[in-house]
Amino acid sequence: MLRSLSSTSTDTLLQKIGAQPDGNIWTVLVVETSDIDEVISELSETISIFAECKIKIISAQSGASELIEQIVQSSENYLLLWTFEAWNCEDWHHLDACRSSLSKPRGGMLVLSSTSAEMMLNCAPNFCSWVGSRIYALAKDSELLTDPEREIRLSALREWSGFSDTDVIASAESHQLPLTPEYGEWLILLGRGDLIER
Amino acid sequence: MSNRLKFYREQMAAFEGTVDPQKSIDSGYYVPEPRKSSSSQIARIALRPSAKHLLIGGIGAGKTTQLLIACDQLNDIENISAHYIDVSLHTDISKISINTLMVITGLLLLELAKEYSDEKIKEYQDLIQKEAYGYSEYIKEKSFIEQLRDPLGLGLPHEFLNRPTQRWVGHQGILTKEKSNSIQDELKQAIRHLNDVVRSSYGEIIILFDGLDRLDDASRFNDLIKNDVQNISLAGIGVVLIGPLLTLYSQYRDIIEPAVNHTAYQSCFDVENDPESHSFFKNILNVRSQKDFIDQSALLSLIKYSGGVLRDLINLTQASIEEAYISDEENLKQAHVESATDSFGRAKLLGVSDQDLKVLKQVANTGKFVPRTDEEVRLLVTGRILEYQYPVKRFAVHPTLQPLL
Repeated sequence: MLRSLSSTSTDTLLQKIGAQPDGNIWTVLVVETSDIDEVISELSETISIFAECKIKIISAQSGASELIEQIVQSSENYLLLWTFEAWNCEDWHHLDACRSSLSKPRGGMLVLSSTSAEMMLNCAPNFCSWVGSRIYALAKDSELLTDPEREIRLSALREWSGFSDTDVIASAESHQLPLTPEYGEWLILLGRGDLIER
Repeated sequence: MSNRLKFYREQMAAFEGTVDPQKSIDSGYYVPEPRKSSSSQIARIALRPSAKHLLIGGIGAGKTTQLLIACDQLNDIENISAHYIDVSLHTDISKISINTLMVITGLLLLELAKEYSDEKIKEYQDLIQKEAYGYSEYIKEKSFIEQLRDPLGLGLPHEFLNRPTQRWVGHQGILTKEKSNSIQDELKQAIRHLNDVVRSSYGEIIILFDGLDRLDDASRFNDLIKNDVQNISLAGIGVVLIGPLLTLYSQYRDIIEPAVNHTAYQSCFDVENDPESHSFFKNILNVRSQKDFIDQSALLSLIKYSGGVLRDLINLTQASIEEAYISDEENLKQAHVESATDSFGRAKLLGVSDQDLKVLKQVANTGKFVPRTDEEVRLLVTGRILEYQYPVKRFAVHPTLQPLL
């Protein structure tokens, strides 16, 4: 089932989030069940840089009512929701009926297994109407950008800033790099995501 | 932030499918619908203010926008006071029970009656607020031991046996917990009295209830129509409400439709066969985007692949702009739309069973569809199959899904 979805790499996903304006934009990321923990851990470290706001990770393990309550109470602008594997159709209906509670200044992301994603699509049509085309399968460990594509993007970033790759790495190492999505993307394209300031 | 990113974010912000429709109207993005819009049909309620109107339509068809426009139109009429209420912000719709709309109506009337204060209003205020949010009370009751009448014959002292115990008892409110044993007669009296009081200042009250289209239970919706909508209307208040699409295909249709004075259907716009609908969608894109930012071929693709569903048009455009940004392009081209529509169609395909697939192929090939089973109705509710009413009634598979079948 994962193969039927459009796939995306983490790099492209973060690039897309970095391009988005303020607004209640929701994305669904579908991953292998065994990878969910690792994906959440990775996204929890990087997503706030690209969303340019504080994020909150909320587990859906305790059911729809508890999740909705936590969403309503949260003050963070971007939410990362996970652990939907025990949910049944009724839980999704419940979340769907309370869709208005999911309004956040910057939106959020649901990380789901393919089984949960299928259930969501059939049982939460109102929420899915918000998500639209932003349902992606994560192509784990794959680099969706080819080398030439990566070089084109890097050239565009060099031209925009007037800096070289070396300048950017040096600035990042001395903690002088501006905290904007373009520089975060630049470091990731150079394979130096470790230099992104958390 | 680069100027390019700033520009793209501005373009994307104009196409936010999740934005409060009131904000879109306030931003000047509202484009009047072609022909007779649902809002103009709803506004007919002005002729008979205590009437009951029902608006039904698919998800993302623009029902809330029509409700808001109708509310504005009604408020422009002298001696009418129309109020828009999103029910889902007051209670959990998935557990909604009868009397909920009556209680919400009561709360609105109390707000309008703030300037009046007499004993009757205070009494009704207490009743409605307790019914809405619940309350606790301190109850004195006979001691448990006394109730047993000292069955063991321990010879407990008289004063001990007669000492009352005291405890707090909590009562849930209808807006905070599913409940069906409400005090309906008192509520009816309260609403009637409060409406009589506020009518002198505000004129005829009309309430537009939004959000009930997310109710996934035709039976509950039927209960609300028979009980709440009926009683609110009998109190002299006009009611307009949005209902779930599935009621049209349920056994309750024959009960619900005669129970209201008018039913409007907000269907998808047939952008393939109706030139006016096509122009309407084109105008929406032009009003929201910077001149020449969207290539002509991209614009036509966006209209085609929206399937005539307003939110799909808005969402697809935003996702296409995102694709254009990632591709380092300076404007929106057809290739970006194709990328977004492919994602959109693939997402719709997820969760489709073999039987669903059979039905989708049949609709794609013949255009024939008679939704009878729950699974077939679900294909409509989830927007995999779209229904058009004009120029001719027809069904079609969502155009983003069709190439993938």
